[in-house]
Amino acid sequence: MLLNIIFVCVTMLTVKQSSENPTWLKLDNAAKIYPPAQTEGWNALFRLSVTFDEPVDRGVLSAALARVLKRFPNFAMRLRRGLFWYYLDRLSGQPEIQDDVKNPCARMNFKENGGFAFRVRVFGCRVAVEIFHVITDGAGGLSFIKTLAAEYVSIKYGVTVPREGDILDCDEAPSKDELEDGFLKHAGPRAVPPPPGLAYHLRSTPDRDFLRVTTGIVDSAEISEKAKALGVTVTEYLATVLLFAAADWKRARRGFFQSRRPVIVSIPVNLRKLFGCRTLRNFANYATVGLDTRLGEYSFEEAVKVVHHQLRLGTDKHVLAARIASNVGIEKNILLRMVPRVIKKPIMSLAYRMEGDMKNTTSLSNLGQVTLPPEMGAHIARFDFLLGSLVRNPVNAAAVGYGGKVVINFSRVIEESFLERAFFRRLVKLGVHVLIESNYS
Amino acid sequence: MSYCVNCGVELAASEKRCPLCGVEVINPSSPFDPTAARPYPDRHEAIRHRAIRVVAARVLSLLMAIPFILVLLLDLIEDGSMSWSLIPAASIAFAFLAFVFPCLFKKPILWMFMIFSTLAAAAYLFVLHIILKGGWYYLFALPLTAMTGAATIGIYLMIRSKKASLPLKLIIILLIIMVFVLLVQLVTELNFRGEIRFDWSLYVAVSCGMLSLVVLIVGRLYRKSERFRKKLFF
Repeated sequence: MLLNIIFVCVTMLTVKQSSENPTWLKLDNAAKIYPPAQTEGWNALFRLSVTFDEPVDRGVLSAALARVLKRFPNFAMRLRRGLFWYYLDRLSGQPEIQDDVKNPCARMNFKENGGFAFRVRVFGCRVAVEIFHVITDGAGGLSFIKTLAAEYVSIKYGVTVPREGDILDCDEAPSKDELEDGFLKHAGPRAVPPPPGLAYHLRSTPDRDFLRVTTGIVDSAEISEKAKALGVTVTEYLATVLLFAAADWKRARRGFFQSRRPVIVSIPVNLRKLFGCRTLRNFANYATVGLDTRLGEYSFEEAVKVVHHQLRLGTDKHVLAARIASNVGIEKNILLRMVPRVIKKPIMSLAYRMEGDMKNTTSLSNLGQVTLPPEMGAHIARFDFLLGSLVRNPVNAAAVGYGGKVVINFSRVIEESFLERAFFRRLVKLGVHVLIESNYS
Repeated sequence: MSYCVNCGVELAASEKRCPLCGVEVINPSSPFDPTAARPYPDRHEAIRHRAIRVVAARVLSLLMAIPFILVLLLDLIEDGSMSWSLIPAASIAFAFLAFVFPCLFKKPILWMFMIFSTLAAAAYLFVLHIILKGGWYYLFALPLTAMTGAATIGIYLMIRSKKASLPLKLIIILLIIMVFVLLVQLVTELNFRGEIRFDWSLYVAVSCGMLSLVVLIVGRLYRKSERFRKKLFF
């Protein structure tokens, strides 16, 4: 027994951990907040799905998943509790392929999922991957699902899918820079505190047990044309429509007093291109765009310009680096590091609830246009991106474009569909054709 | 291909109603097909609430049972009867009923537990009254407990009310406070001086009454804001 303990200790001290295929990982800077913030009925999930042109073969999908997990070691990990921090511990095997459900992004039960912090669900022709934010962000998740789809197509149809961009080659070993914590590496020299002030929050009737999903499908060329005519990007165009919808809600729900808080939409920014980083873990920050409705009525053209400039300022590399430095500074604080996890947990959870999504009214996450090699694209009909519920913001939007269509998914944990209704009605008024489907009507 | 008459959006074949406004789609040339492929399956994943609060309340219930039984046993062993132990036992029972018992439920209904806590407080005071042989229960402790419980529940229900407007809520809450303080002084004076007298409670009551009047006037003017602005503009 004693010899055994000595052997383990010696092994721990002498064996150098391979950084390409590590047996454990520290949580990245952004991921650190999610485990303490999770509750018995909620954790921060998002969902990406790919729809093939024929029903999914589960055997092939399982084989593809096994290969992809070797290439994405951060997915083959379980969340564990350390004395001071949570960490990710390597896990062998793979999660079972599950049947899809009516209410996506329900709280993930890690024990039922074999310890994995993501799950794969199948419904007809669609494969959905629901991911806990401790592993990666939307762009990392998109790379994972694209690689999974590429492997699936390769195995099923026997075609060779060229591996380019974020579709990774599963025969290659994972590289060190794919698993690095981009926040630690790219934090700026000076930290700036996050912008002060709280945002207006939608007054509504909560129903947290069922995530209602409303999907609007619009023509990619049509919406790009509308955005270009105003000299803005599709994200800026959609963010303005969303801001108008939230402002309409605020106006409609105005009671005896009018809230002084502005309507703010938070837009996640993928930092990989800005900082030249290849990490497959979390590496995103947020830019916020807002309208202060107390200043008067904005026309759509005026608001689009405001949003355009706000987003340009918000995505400035130096500002983002300073904001990263602020978050990293908290993580590196020696006093915080020395505090045991059990004490840190309630403090971090409270901080998340007070700070997390209090500063925005809703969020719009746009993954942009998905491009695929033609060998693979021939078998894929659609991509979907969906955000799970947040703590304070009951309605969130996510968009992804593929095959000439942009799919906009609204997810909400309230009964009222006001925000989606105002959003899509305004798009229709602006001359955009919208096709709607849902999981509840 | 059907469009929502309210929203102007095209609806997928799987949608019987517009998901945005709930209006049913009636298209004679393309009636709703219940067999159309739906975007999500029918299986609903139940969200398991582990309810740490419930587990903690259960553990606390067991922990509270230990001193409860111990004091009764010790007293019984000591002289074969129960005397001093009734006070700590009743205190533990009251603490359990008022604070721990509501947490044993997964979805507590707050106003019901307010009634329950009031009853528990009344019962606890009754036990003390019996043990200490005081003559203060029926005329003093019981009315005060009942009044406090009623006022708290009344204020809570008003705050939660979805039908009442904000001015109405404020007025009713102020009136509840007004009646409550007057009754408290009435009961106190009758018990300790044997006469009906109002002094300190009048200050509170008049303030509440005046405030509710202000709220009433401002509320009315607010509703008729055009007239309000026209008469009082400067």
